Amino acid sequence: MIRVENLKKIYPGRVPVLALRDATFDVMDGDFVAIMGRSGSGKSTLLHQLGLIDTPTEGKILLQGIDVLTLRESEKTLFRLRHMGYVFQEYALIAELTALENVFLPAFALGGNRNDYKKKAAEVLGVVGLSNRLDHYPSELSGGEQQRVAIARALINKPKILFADEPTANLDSLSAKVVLELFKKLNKELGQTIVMVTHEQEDKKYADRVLWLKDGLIEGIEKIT
Amino acid sequence: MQALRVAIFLAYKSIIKGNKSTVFLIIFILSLSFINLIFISSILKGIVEAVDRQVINNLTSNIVIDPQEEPAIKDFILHAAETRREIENIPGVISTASHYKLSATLEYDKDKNNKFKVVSGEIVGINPEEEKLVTGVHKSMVAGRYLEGLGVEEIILGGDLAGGYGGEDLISLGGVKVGDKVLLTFSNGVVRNYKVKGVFLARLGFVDRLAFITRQEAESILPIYNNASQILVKIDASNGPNTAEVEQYYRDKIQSLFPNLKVRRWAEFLGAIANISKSFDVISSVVSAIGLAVAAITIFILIYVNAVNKRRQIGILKAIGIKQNIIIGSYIIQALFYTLSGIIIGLILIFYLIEPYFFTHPLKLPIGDTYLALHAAGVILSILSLLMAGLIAGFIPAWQVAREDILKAIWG
Repeated sequence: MIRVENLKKIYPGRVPVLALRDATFDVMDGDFVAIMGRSGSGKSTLLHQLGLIDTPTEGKILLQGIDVLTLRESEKTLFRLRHMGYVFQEYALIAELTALENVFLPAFALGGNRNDYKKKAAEVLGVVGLSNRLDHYPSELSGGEQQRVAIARALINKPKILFADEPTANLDSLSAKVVLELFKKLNKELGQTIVMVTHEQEDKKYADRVLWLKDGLIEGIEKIT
Repeated sequence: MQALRVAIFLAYKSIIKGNKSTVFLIIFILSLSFINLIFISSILKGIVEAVDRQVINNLTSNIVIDPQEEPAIKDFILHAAETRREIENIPGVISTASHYKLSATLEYDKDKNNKFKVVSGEIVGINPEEEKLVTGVHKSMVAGRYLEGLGVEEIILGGDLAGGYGGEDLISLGGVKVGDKVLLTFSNGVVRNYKVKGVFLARLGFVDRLAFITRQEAESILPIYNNASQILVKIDASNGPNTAEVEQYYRDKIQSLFPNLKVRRWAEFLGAIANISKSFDVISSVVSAIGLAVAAITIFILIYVNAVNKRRQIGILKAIGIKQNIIIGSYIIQALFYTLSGIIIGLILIFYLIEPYFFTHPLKLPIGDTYLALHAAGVILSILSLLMAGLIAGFIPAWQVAREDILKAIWG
């Protein structure tokens, strides 16, 4: 479960920018939450704080009951590795690693038997429909395939929460549909908690709830039926 | 341990998938840096060793014994034969030789027109056969023959003194030939005419300005018997990295046997030469330090450019939970791989190409043939220095980039 309390983010500078204002909300285990809003509304900023890749100015984030903002940087890194999956907008794969290697890297870093994590990576790539692309390098994959490799990588350590930052923004409509269907499947069949930022109105149908943001403020929460 | 395995994996993939020609070029540059590190210091050490060798072989041998200075200054070592015998009984002492040192003015009438050229010089009285076991003047004859037997009224001259062998004209007799006569007036007033039996050229100024007569001849001039102005001692293990320690051991041993004599290592005896060696060591150290700095900067630039080009990748690695020390470790491993490869190629080139070449084609310097002086300690020090430089030069840029904020690294 995620509990966010009075989260505030100010980007310092000559003219400080208030990117997030007193965000307070909960995400329950097994939820599929979409964060939506216009460009510059603070969607990605909110996700960066939740994913621990940025530090908020004020507020509290409880992930699985742990006040993660009190953790040291190295503990946050370990927390990300063990409990979170993160999918970026632009695939964000390591160019020098094959699809299989990209996926097993977080498992490798976590420890365990070499053959086990390779097997596990191949299985996860099978789940995202890329069993035939294990030894391909990112440059040999299409955008949609790369994003699916990134999703497989995010799932390899069986994270409690999967964060996705506009995962379909750079994909054609067909590839985008495949990715979103995959998220839906993961959420429904495996109970994967997903928090996804998107600006595409039609994407909200895949989510259970939509968190609407405007000018850094949570404008409302929409339940999708 | 797992962190190390991940770091090695990332480094391995980065090298394997990196541009092959760039990788080879980097390794080649580092191998040149390593060769530079070894070569310059080895050639300078080689020059120092050539000078040392010349001095030991032609002038002083390993240990020099002078007459006592305390409590009263003596001109000669008394009972020279007995003293030498006792020293030669010390295990490890190869041989000894006694010298009489006389000063004289030498006159030479080159054109037989009663116009004499006059120079002053040091005349050394030696036993020709004993001398062969201690110094190498007999091997340096360039004209005529070496002294033999009693050698009555015979003299051999150093090339600089004789003239015509490239030395300074001011201190030479102007071109003495074998068989010519030279007139010597010794400091005690004795005047003798000597036939020049030979000319030697040791390529060492100290030696090539000397003249040698036989010991018997010297004793008849002085006149004394069984004394010596100086005793030279040749010991075993003359050429090796521990020569100084070995020499010191024998010096102390001889000094303890003859506390009244002044016993010195050759380097102590010739303070100026020892200073030259020290100066060359300083130059060698400075050149090595510069070579090391260049190598370190090369590695630094390489890793920095590599890391900066992969800032986004580093950000992604951090975002997916890869620890900062794993990322830094992978860059350090890359730096060490490049450095180690450069060292291995450098060692192969040095030991299979450069050293054999210099062994067969030594540098022909005025002081003699000069070889590369490659000592294990020096090579190991260079390897460790370069590895350390690689470690530091790999760590700093990787650390600078890896500690960057994740979002800044990914999106710039």
